[in-house]
Amino acid sequence: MNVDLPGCISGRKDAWDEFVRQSAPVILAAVSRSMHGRLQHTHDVQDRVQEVYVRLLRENCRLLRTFDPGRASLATWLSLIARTIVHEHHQKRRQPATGLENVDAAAPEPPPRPEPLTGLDSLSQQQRQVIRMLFEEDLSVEQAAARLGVNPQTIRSAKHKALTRLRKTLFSEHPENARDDDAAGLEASGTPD
Amino acid sequence: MTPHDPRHLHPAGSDGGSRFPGSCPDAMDLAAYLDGGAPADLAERIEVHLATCGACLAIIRQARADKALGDDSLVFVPAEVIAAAQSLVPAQAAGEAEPLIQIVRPGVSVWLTTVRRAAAIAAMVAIGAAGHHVGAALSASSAASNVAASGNDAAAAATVADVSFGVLDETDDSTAASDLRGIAFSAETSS
Repeated sequence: MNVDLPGCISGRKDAWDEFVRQSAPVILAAVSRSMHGRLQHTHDVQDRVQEVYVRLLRENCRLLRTFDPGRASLATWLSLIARTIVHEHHQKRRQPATGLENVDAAAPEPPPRPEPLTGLDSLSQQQRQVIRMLFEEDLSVEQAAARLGVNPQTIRSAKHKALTRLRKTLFSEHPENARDDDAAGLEASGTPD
Repeated sequence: MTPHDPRHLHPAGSDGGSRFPGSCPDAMDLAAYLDGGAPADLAERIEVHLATCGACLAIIRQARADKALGDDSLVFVPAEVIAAAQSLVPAQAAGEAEPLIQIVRPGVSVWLTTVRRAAAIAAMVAIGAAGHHVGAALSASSAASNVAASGNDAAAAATVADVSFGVLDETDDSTAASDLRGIAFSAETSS
């Protein structure tokens, strides 16, 4: 796409019109496939497409200003925003409606249930432990090694294997076939691959 | 707050060391990951997050699958969809007054719009008055003597009305320049 984003952000009509003309196919395709699994020109799809553009303009083009062409393509970024908006729309439709007379008496919102750790469940217990320490507790490799009483290289090796397995599980059509090559988990020797 | 609260599309870009516990990566991070442009540590964090967030995982899976389908820039989009999106930004050519219907920005813009509207209305009133006086001059040249001799105010008023632009009614004292109703739209004469 060859568009003038600064022109759009500054409010130039010609820049915005050209941006819409070039981006509409990408946005419509992303919305349609998210909603229906294929290309369909329903009213719902068209409404979501408009919602994407409204969101891009909202608050003085706040979203548009976040785009960095050095990190990703505009088409990829727009398609992700479109898909996120479709997802939000589905979430709102799933929430039960509350009548106005019940607002004050409504029970406080329960805390959100934690997402099932389906991806981490495919890891060994030791690999899960390493991943949690490094990515949730934000420990360094040395700190994690000290806590577990192992060599830092052992931590690096476990991390590498865990992430490799994670990628297979996340993006495989048959995650149950992704085998764990490190069934023994952590070893004191920490031999890297 | 669900993991996909709209606030997660937040303006602050994530750097390579961003943490995602309890919240989702923003669209820029995910786009960089999808396009293979995310640094290694960011990519790892995103992958760990995807293992714990079904919503983000579904979005990324869909996006990866659709990327494999090829170029979406050739997808047909109905003209009305494009027109509706383009109309979100109103036309504003150089020298034109600001459109009357627009996203209101309070403060100076509203004041300037009001001043421009008042100036436009004043110009219309002035044009209407000039047209009336021209009409009066034309009728006076042909019937002024008869009118003056008969002293017939009603006849004079009818004669004036015949040739005026119908903007101002001389016999109606209540029609002042500040009365905006009917100005430039009235097609009736005071007969």
